[in-house]
Amino acid sequence: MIYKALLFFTLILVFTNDSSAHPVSWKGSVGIMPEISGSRRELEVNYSIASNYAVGLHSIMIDYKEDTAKFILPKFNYRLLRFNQPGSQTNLYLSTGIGGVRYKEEDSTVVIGALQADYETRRIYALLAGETLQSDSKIDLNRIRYRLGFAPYLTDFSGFHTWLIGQVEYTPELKDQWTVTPLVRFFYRNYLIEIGSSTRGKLSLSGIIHF
Amino acid sequence: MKIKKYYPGALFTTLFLLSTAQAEKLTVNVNGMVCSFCAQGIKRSFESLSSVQEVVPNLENKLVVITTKENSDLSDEKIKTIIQDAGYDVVSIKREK
Repeated sequence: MIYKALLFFTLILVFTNDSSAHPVSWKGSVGIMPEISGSRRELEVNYSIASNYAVGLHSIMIDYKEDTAKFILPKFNYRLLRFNQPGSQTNLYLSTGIGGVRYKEEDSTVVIGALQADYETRRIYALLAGETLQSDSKIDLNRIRYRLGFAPYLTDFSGFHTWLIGQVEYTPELKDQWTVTPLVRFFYRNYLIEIGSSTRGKLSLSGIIHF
Repeated sequence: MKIKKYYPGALFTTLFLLSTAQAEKLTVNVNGMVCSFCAQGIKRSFESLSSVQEVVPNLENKLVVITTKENSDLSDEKIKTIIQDAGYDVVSIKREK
């Protein structure tokens, strides 16, 4: 219990702020998902009350024009559907939340809405996710993320897994509207890390821990 | 005489204890189990049960092999609930002593 708390606070300190990869996990689990990607740093911590819904807290920092917008959002994540097939899994998630944003020393209310669809086999992984942040001030930000990945080798449950992923992001309000990022994903047991660099040379680093 | 009288009962009790003392191997066929990171919930949830000795998920064959402890029981309903709570679907459960 102590090591979990230490790990939790260490991650908060290191990353100071999401990853939308696993909005919901198994019943009773906690997910910690930090991500640094270009002009965005984030951290989402969620608790899966059931296998199809989770509650969480999402903190996002986005460099926008001449300042950094800081969002803090209690969230509700709901798995709208899952198709379990013998060799594949398909999911559709909806996330909503209402919270606050600080931008140019001004606080305002913000609403988040996100949809994520993903499909996975042992070899192939595809994701399409859209997110909108709408505030009552001048901060309205949107993001669409596409991902396609494949596993260069297969290993069993207890093995060390590697995925090669290509990611394209469209962020219409930001300076860099299109970002292409090749990523490498590694996971072992309940630890997952992704690292990459965008074609503009910006670091992308994210992780997920479930316990 | 007394020994003869109690012999059938003692034999029955011994056989009953022997049969329940055995560990059971359960082979569960699961749909959707394609990623070990996502399926951690299956292993962890079964391991948290006092009746379970070992859990071995097999991604290649889409199986979860569960070995129960001696004198323990794990019902089909419990297995289905745990697998569903982890986000997956049970196709079949095979039991072996």
